[in-house]
Amino acid sequence: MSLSPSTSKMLSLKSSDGKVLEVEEHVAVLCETIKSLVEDGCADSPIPLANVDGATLGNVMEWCKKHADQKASADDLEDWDAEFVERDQGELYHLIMAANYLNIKGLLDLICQKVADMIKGKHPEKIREIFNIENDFTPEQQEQIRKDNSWAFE
Amino acid sequence: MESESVICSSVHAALISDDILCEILLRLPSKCVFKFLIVSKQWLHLICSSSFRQSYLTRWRGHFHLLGFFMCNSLYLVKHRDGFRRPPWEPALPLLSTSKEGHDLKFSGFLNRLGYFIHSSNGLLLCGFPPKTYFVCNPITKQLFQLPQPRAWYRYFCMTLVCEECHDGVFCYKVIRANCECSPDEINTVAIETFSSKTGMWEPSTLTCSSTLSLCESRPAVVIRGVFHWKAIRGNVAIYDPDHGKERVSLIELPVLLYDHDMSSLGESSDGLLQYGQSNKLGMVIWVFEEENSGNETDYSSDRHSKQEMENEIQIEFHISVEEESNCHDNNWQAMEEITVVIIPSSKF
Repeated sequence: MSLSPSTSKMLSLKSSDGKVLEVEEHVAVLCETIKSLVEDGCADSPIPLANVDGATLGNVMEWCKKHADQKASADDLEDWDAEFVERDQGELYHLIMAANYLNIKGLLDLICQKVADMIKGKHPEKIREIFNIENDFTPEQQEQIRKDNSWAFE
Repeated sequence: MESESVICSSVHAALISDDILCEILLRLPSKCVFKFLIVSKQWLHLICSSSFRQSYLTRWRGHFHLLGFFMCNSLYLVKHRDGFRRPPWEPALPLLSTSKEGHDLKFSGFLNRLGYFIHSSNGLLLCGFPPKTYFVCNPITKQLFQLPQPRAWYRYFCMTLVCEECHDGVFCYKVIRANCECSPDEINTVAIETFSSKTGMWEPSTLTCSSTLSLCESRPAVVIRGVFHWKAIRGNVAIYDPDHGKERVSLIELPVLLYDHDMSSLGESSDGLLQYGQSNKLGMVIWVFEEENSGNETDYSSDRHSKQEMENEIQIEFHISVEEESNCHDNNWQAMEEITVVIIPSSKF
């Protein structure tokens, strides 16, 4: 089976909210999950992607299309990626979940790095606030962990 | 309102997945990661897990600084040779520290209790006073564990420490003592004794080989992915895979380039291959052991690795004078990489 751009056929991807997206095969196979379906010959009917909504799928395929483009230079991709991740938190997390589910290492790396940069140097209290995480420690437990790792809190 | 709840649920969903949280935290510097221990119990458990620790160390290896070098003088480990006694001014466990932490450790007095350096693995040290008293310790946390006395008595032996996994801060390790008796009767067995931190006991066993062999004394094995590689006499490496089940040891022949080498040693390359190096005052040669069928699992139960070869990796020649340069030039072998270090004696100026 040839995956080269010249003979690339179209694949239909169906999002969780029922939207169908037509994507060139050589673009869609950047998703390892779809690639294995294609290789197993199970990609004829619209491929149902139960964990990805239509808007996110559109964003993911935009990224794949850019990265499947043989003509794009490394510098060009870097600039493009930097712009691509300038999104609000909600969108970023949809993208992380989709990249994880569709198994796109490059995209997952990109967004994890973006989130890491967002939380780097922030106070734990701030992290809880940003991500809406409940503090399930007692004040004593928290103090003990702080004491045991005092070097990190200096 | 609806879009906000979608955002919250997705934030929650993304971070509740340990895989994704792990991917994000792996990209943060260590101080930052430790600060996040108090975010929640989930974050605490994830950051303290052995899998996270392993991935983090692999990813950031280049960023960790070196504590220092422990020095091993095997002459002091061997009690049966008279004449080699440690002078009182020399510490039993010398540390050439390269960092503040190393300096603090050196002068903390902790090292004085440990005896001689024998081997190290994955951050743990094996030291002690042969032939009876041995310790395994973590020089950073200063945890110290004294091993029970070995059961078997070997006149000549070598010891190897293998630190396997760390589960919630508890290290799992094995210590293997191997008999290095060089008997006048040719033997094809090696007696070993294994201490496991899981059982807390020494267990004896006997490894057999199709040809006669004897291991080199006081030389710890190089352990690569659980497989032991001992330097054996007559220019061989003895290979033993404890997880294989069969108590077999196989031999491979080491290459010889410098016939009059003063030093030789086994090691592991950064990509996990066995290396062998020889040196004398004229130069140094390093080979790397490559398997021809790299895709296949190596069967260490086979007697000889005929399909595997040591490939010459690096040669360094110390050019001391023009006369010696011509002597040590030998172009009969294929070098993958050649580095020449030229040392010009001061008398030439």
